[in-house]
Amino acid sequence: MRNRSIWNLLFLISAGVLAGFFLVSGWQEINPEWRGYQVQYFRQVRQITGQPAADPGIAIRQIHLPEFNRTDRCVTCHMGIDNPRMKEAPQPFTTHPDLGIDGFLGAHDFTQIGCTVCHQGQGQATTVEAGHGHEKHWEYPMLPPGLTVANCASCHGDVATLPGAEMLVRGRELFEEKGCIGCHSLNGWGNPIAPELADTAGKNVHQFDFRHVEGEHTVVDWIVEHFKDPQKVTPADPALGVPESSMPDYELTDEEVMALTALVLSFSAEAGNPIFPVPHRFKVPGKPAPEPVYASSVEHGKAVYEKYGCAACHGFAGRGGIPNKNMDLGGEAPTLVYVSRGYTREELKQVIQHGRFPARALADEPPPPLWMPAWEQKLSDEELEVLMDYLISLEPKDAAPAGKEG
Amino acid sequence: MADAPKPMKFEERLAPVARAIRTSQIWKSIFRHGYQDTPRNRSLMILSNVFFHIHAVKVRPAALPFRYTWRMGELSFYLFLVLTVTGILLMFYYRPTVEHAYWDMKDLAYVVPFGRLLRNMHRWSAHVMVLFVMFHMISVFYRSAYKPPREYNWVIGVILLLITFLLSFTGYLLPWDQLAIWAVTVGTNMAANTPILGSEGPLAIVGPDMDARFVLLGSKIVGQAGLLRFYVLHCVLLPVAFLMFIAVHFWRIRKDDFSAVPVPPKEERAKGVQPEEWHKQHPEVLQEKVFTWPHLVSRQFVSAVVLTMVLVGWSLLANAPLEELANPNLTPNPSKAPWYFVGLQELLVYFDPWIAGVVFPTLIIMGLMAIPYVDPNPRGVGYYNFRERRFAVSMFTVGVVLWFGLIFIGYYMRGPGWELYMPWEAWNHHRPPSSTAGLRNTPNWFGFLLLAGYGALGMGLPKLLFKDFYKKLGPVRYGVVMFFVLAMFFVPVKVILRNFFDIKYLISLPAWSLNI
Repeated sequence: MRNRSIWNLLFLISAGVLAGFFLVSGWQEINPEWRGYQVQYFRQVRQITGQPAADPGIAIRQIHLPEFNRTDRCVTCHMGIDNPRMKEAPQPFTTHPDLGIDGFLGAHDFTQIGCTVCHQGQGQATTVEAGHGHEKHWEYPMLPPGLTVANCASCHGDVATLPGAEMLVRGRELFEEKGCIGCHSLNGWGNPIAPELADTAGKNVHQFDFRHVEGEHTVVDWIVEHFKDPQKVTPADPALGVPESSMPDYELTDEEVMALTALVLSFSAEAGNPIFPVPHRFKVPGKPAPEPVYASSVEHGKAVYEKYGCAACHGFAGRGGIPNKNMDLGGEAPTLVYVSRGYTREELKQVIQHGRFPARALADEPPPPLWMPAWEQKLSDEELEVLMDYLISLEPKDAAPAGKEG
Repeated sequence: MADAPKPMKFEERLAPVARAIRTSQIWKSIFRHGYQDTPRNRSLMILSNVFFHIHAVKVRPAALPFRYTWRMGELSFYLFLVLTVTGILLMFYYRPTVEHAYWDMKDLAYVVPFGRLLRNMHRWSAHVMVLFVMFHMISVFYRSAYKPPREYNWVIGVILLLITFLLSFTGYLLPWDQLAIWAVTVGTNMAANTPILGSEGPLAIVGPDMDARFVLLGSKIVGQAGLLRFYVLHCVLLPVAFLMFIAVHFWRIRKDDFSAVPVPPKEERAKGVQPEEWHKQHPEVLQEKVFTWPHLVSRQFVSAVVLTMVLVGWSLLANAPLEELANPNLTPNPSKAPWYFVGLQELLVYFDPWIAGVVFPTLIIMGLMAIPYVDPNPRGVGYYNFRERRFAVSMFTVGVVLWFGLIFIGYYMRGPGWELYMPWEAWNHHRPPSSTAGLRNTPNWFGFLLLAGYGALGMGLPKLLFKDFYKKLGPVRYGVVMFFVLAMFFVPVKVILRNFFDIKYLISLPAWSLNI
């Protein structure tokens, strides 16, 4: 056996390395990542309270919720969640904020609903990175702390009155002020110029274009960066004949971006995810909004203006400034501030009822992306009348009279 | 055979330690007598052990070196055992239902003790086994170990190859992630393109609720029925079939005597003496054998340990893929078949599905099975020989290169939209698709003439130019061989026709879904 020594060596080395691998594997099983956290937690408890913990076993802990199709093992490391004495302890041992029986957790027993229904992340995982959902192919990474409020809409039909949901209220305000519904649709209500918003955040991450997104390639990040600079995230693609996004750059502050992002996320939360259903008994249906009472027809008209998203093209209070590429008369959708000078009440009604396609500034450039839709089928007679009153009222009282504008 | 080489230094150091242990009181109180290393005991180790007596008691020394078989056959079987053990352990935790399958995979990865290692071992062993059975077949071919009297064992081997592919394919679906359902969608859609019995193939006579694809999936969609069916195939039917054929395979190896033969020493080879002649001059060399225990068994054992070391190490380092939960409403782009089928998927660029997915695989299987029966050259059995079987080795090598080449292109060089990408190029989902505007079909009469000409020239020319070759094979064997050779070369012909002449179909009969 010529190579006997080589065979012997090969055998000894392989057997040794193999034994080493089994030892490594055994060590990984005996000493997983979460074990260290539990040991540390019990030490913390003894330090803070002066007594050993009530249930000091080292084991995986989970909240098994077959109805939700979730099994949340977050409490394996976050063991101080429901221990009020751990308020000063560092993460991951801190008490959950607002623990009191009258507070948030009093109304949301996490042993009944788990953690991921609000925070997202990968409940079944038992390592930090994977548990927080930062794993390739896990579509639901943990939401940044400020955005967790978006998932209130998973159960609550009426977020406006919820304590703690102020950011969603702010988002809603901005939504109506900017008139997003003028271009976008939401659950079918709105316009077809821009995508439907109710399923935006629920789309798969592969359905987004991340070529111009600087941050992490997650849906949340895409939405945030898109709000900050739509033309950067969805620019033109000349090779495919795709024009750049017509969404105006509203120059939002960071706080406004977060509020709007939370709002968009809440739309998908409300629509629900078939993989992770919310059992019916946990749903808190919203109450229908009371019929609004308006002080004047102008105020009613203003509400109509917001309801149909006119601000999307004509700007807040008709002040304009929304770009409309290659539109004649200045490349912007027209302002409405002086509309009462250029149109009689009847003429104005005609334009609104039947719509208008703007003319091109340059004939060989693509047509303008925004046009005036026909609102005949959508506006009621009363709404049309009060809208007229509002539009006519837009003219500033101290403006100098001018010739008829065409 | 010389059996006592000079021991190495570390063995010399170990020997007194071993002796000290063996002569100690504790040892001698337990093991009262040693196990003498006699020829009789070496024989009995093999003969009286139900597992070992798959082997012969003695083998020719030519069977021992690594370069003879690369250990591919035995390691393939070893991997089957590894897969069975890891598979059974996985079965304790995995439920083959749409509600549970994916989430049980997650539990295996995070909660089950050694679950991550178990799942990875199973996945990587499966891929290595598919590769090793291919290498085993290639090695058997190059050693002519399929020639008489071993023809039928080669056929059994091809059946085992098929069962291995199916085992891997059925297992591929079980994680129930995007990778799984879409790879199986690609594979089962090929079944739907079977001529006559597939609802989308040429000359279809059945609808999608009754065709070959439905038989595979138990449904018109890749869903719960398919998952359960594939699970039963994967865990019960195919392993049992595999074991039955393996039993025959091993039986045949013993009955026909393991093929390895000694080759003449260097001086004789230099004089041009061939093994067959040398064996006739020195018939005693064929009878010179050594004991299986320890010589063959020790080599097999070390190979198994090395392989296990590589597998366990790889399983600790690299996790088997688990993508998003299966979503029938979202098709990944590109959706690729498992790597061993992706060569056929690549053929879809050049051929309709019924050819790429049904006809070619059938021809490959049939062609492989035919090899022992169309090869009239009885020489070369038991050693590597090229000079005396140039045609056979060349054709087979072309086939192997084509097969792995197609796999390489399909796996590493195809991106979104099945567009061509260099292996290092990043995929761009927004790259405009390459234009097919220039592609045209030849008029049917012209395509028919071309095909007929290809067939006629392919059949006729070698007969005229290589009369010896034709005479050796005889008309029937010649016809069969040239048919498969021409079918094989039709692949590069079509590649050239499309890429250099912009020709898509030679014959196109869209009313019958029949295009060539």
